[in-house]
Amino acid sequence: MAKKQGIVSIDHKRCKVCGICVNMCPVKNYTIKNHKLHELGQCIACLQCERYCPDMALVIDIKNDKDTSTG
Amino acid sequence: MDKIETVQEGNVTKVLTHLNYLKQERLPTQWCPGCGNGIVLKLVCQAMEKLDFSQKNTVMVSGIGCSGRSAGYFDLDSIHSVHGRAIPVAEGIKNANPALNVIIISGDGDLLGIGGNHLLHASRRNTNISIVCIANSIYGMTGGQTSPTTEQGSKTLTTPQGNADTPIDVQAILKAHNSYYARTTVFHFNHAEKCITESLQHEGLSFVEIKTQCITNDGRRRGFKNAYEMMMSYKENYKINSKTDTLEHNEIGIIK
Repeated sequence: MAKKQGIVSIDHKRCKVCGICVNMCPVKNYTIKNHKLHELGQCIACLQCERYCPDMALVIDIKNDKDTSTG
Repeated sequence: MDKIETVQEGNVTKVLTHLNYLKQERLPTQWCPGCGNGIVLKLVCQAMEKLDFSQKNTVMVSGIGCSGRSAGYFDLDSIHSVHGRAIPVAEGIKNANPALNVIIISGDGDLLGIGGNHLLHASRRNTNISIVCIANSIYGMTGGQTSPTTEQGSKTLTTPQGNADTPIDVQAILKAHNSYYARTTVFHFNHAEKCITESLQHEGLSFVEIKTQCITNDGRRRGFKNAYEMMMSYKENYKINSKTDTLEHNEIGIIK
């Protein structure tokens, strides 16, 4: 069974670097460097960060590989 | 400076359609980093999308305070009313045109402290409006003074030795007049969405109290390091109760 993968989009104009997503992420996909949020490309598309981001800065798209039998 | 940009940026095709209820050109919001008000904004948008509310027949009313700013971010007809008087303004709108959906978003200091008397009489009149109360348990905008929902023993700006008084029992006020009351937290996202959706559908007055973190003026005095720790404290301290008719101080749930 293939792992789900997500594509992360960060809106840096909206992001205030509060750090909720950094702590909330189960695979530690985010890091803060130079007062800016960075993404490390390990997203498993659990959508926790999109849900709890207070500034609507994060959008996670689920990557579709080949198996789209469910829809 | 922008050398570690996100790799796949630009490939995202998903659009968050519920954000169309907001004036997105006004974002970012003016609230502090880590403030939970943005999550409540998102919750209300999702509930409105679920119920297919149109932007023409919905009115957003708010009082004064940090959370009072939220009415201005909605792409709807909205009123930023005077301090504590969000409920009378909303009742007037509803009585003038009963076809409108009237929603109030305001803080606990505004609705329960300054406008506490209006809440008493609104629950008596039972007008069909929905109230979303962002309860951060302090007066956030003015620096963190004790508010009616501050827990006993909690440190604030005006009670450095811990709050001596018990918080207000909103549940009892609304239950006395058979109004809808729900308590939830921003951490319990699905539960909060369900509470708001049901409150918008409810005929008569409905009151949803959402426990929200304020890290800048409340959390740092109580020893929290960041907003995430405050959200996790909601996870530990509040349990969902769907059985009994009365909620204890550490329970969340819906009372109809």
